[in-house]
Amino acid sequence: MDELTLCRRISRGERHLFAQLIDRHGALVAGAIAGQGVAGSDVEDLAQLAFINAYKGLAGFRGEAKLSSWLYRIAVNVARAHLHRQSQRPFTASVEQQLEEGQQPLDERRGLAPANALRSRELARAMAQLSEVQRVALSLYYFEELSYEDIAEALRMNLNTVRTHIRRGKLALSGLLSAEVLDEL
Amino acid sequence: MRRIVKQVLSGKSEKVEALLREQHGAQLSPQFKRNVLAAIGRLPEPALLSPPARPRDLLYALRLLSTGERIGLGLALSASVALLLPGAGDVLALAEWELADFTVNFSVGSTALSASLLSVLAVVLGLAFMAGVGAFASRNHLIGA
Repeated sequence: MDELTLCRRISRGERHLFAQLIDRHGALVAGAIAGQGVAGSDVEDLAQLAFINAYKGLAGFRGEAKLSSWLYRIAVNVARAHLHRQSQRPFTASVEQQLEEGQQPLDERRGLAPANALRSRELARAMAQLSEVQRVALSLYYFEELSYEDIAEALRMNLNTVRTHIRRGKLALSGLLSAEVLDEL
Repeated sequence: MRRIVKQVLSGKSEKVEALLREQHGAQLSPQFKRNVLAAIGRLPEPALLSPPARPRDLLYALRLLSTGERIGLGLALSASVALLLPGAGDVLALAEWELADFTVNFSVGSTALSASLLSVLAVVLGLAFMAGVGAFASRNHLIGA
């Protein structure tokens, strides 16, 4: 079933079909939110909110853009609103502060070995310094395992532009990551 | 020397690649789909929720225009509004202009025609509006199909 038909059928009340939409684009939505720098524990809640917002606006989706890029924009808006709200709270520690104060990063909570957790933390720090588009492209490609084509559709970019952002992102990371972290690999 | 630098860079790049590949994405829990479906189950059908179509269409129409066209449209609109304001004639008189100066004279064959600039402007804007409506209609028709 093509995406426009799927959206129309959901709009007309076939709610169960929304599960297909989640299956197809769940990774993209989660990756888009994580790529904005949202803490791992909040990603799922925000992804849920993004899908609910998408459901509410589904009747307004006319197929002018690809469904993936429409969902991507919704996810990014949800993540940005969340980050904005967080920045308004005076007592909310930044990710950097939380890390420095020794709070357990997500990978440690997942039960990863300390060495891996340290590498993850270093990578998260380095990725925070990349441009938004590089960070999102890298996280969608490597973490969510989306294809170049899917990323290009979601970000409304040319395929070669996506490749360039990923290549430049990796190049920038190699300069930002410490030698010790890379030598462990 | 260049070869050594290249080797070092490619070695570093491979390590970055390996580091990225060992990471995991923001994995959604098995209950995620069920939670979303339960949440939307409490909402009315999307078709019943009013989509914000009206302002979007207007913005879309403005986005269709190039920068030059937008400036031109803005100037034409502000000029026509200014001409309709009371006292516009007096302001023009300061610059030694009269409203009659804004009359376009042209001839078709042996017939001489004259029209005020305002009416020409109204016709042009009307045609542009009709063209815009036509473009919308055809676009929505294609999407509908």
